[in-house]
Amino acid sequence: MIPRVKQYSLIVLAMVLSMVALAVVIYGPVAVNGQLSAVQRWNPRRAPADAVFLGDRACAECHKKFAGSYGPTGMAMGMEPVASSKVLIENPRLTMKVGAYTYEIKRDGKQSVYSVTDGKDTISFPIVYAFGQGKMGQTYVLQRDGKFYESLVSFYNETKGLDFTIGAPRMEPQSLNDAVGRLLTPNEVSSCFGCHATGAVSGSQLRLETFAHGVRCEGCHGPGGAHIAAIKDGKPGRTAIFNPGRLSGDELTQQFCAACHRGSNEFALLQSMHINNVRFQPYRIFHSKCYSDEREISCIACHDPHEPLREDAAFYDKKCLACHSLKNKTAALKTGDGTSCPVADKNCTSCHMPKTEIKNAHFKFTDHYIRIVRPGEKFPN
Amino acid sequence: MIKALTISAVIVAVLLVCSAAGFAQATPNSKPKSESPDAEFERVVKLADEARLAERFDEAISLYGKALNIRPKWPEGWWYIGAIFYQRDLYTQARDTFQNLVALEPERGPAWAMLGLCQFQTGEYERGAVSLERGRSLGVNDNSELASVVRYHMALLYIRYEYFESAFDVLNEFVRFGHESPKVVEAFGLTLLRMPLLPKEIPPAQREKLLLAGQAGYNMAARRLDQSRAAFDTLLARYPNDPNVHYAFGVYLLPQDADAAIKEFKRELEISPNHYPSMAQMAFEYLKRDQFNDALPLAEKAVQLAPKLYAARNVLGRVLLELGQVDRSIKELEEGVKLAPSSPEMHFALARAYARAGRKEEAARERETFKKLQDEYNQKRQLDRSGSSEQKPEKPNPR
Repeated sequence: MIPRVKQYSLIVLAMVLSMVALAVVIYGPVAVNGQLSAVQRWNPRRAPADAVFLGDRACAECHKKFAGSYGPTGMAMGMEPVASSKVLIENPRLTMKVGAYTYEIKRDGKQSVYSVTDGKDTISFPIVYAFGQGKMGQTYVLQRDGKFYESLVSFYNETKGLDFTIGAPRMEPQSLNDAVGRLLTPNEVSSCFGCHATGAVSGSQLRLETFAHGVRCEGCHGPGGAHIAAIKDGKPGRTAIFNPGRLSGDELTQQFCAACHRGSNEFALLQSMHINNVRFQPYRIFHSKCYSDEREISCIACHDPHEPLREDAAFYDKKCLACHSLKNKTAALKTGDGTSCPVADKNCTSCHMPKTEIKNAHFKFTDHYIRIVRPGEKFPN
Repeated sequence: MIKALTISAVIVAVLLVCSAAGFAQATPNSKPKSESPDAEFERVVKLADEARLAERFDEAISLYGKALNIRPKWPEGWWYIGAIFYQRDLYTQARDTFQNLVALEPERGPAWAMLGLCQFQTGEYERGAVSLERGRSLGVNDNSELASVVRYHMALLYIRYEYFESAFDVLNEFVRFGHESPKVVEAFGLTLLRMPLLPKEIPPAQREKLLLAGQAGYNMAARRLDQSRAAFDTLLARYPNDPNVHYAFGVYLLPQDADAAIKEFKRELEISPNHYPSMAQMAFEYLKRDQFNDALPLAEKAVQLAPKLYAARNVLGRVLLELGQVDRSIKELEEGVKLAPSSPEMHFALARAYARAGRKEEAARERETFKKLQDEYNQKRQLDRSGSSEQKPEKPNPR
């Protein structure tokens, strides 16, 4: 009897161990490894000094579907090469007058020149970096004597013209030099390029000779070299590439996506920005009653990062109704809210995630603080 | 010196304003033959108010004392007597009087504030800090002069007890209201150079250095970065090997140029090898850069040197979490929460660690605490920012 039990136990043990081993191969060693490796942790804003990026083409060889759908996304176009910038090509001459100063952005072949004049003197620069895809607008980073400046004026899609850059003082500059733009600190330069480009920041150093415009595949998944090498060696590729989709809901939203979109741990900064913080979705959604560590309420629950953003409210209904529907009581209980909306069963986001306009940005942002919005209530910070 | 002139102004103003109503109803001096206790009380109060307005303070104290014999639970009586004692530098008596008042009205912020100021003057610094904190949390803002004096003394006590970051926050309120007095600048200097001294204890040889550091600190808080930089440049040129100078400059640089800041923290560690604030700052920056193995020894040493510094626990816990040492991380972060239960960022970090450990309920609880504290912080910030109390004229009631 005893040897039989022992034998049975050994079989069970062997089965358990092989299942664990299989899980490790499939899901990576998160659960059993003490120290997280670079494959398990990737900071989309800052590549390690030794990171080597292969570029989208290398990824597209296998991931054709994603490569095709990702190109036109907002993240992929977070920064436009000036030579092919849609905004700058479609708007070959942009002007604006602020007091004594006149701004002009003029297309000249494959480049655009940013100029400001007070009528006597003129300062001109070729635009080197165009930040933003133009859906809301586009801001320019200029280089002068080795330093970086944020253009004082930006392009806004709603007006198809120039206006003050968000955050810039909306007043006449004190001098022609001030009129050009704001000198960026080294930290700000790292932040700008870290979020709007891939491989532009290595450690704490800028690497502008080799970066890719926009958030490319490796911007979120990390360098792909080890992944491709593993596949070529016949090993499972999953263990050699970072997959943010494996993170918990909170880590994904408040740490990974928030690295650029800004999360709740930056509360002191964001609360000082009042309505302007509506742009920072991780921070906003954190305040929602239904926010939790579950992936069902994380960024990727509603947004497929490989696809262009869906803007029709109806698209998101099924995401809301997955929990907030009496038809799905189990899910409803999971959120702690077992009731359906008493007012409507469609276009949920139009009421519960109202579009909020930042006037100076000439754009209405979807407020990700999901809530019952009371008529006339102040913007909840 | 500690007793600022403004204190006298506060007291006189409070006394004058509070007496206005009473003065209007003054009654004859002589005591009627058959007088009811109520009538006697009213009469004595009127006489006391008259004496106070005429600055016959001994007489006023005696008369208020009589009124309190009739009605021992008359709070204004205790307030007036306490204020007169304070005005006359009789801090022990003033302290005991305000102690009676706060026992009667424990929610009266200005009474706690005055008690704290008395305790400061009698050298009971720890108790003074508690009373001033209580006064500030209950609110003294209806009296902008008193609020300002309380803020200053609160900052001094934070400095004395080496809560330099808290002192900086409190002093920052002066910047918001544009109160750039030499005393405030001096307090900024003590804060930046992490010198746990009261102004009266500052050695004369250190004053110039403190003034420069104070100017750098005030301008840094006011976001006048060029002026702050100029003060730092002079400070560094004159005192390149003094403790805390490079650290302070590093703190100034950190939001703008983290690489340059790290160089300053390293220089500080050459001067003061056990400078745990530099270690913690560097550990935070390395954490931000995902250089966890660089951050770990610094964070561990900071905790070892300053086990009660919650920021050190915070950074160590977060670094350990990133290194996959979840249990150790939770232990450090739980300790941090014990040290700073009202710090939102401690609860946020602990929530993340619990989540990583699969302790969902505890993670949700910490997340909720974080939200609650964040809301409170936000409300306080908006209240402070509105600055309404500082801008409005004083209200007649000192409560």
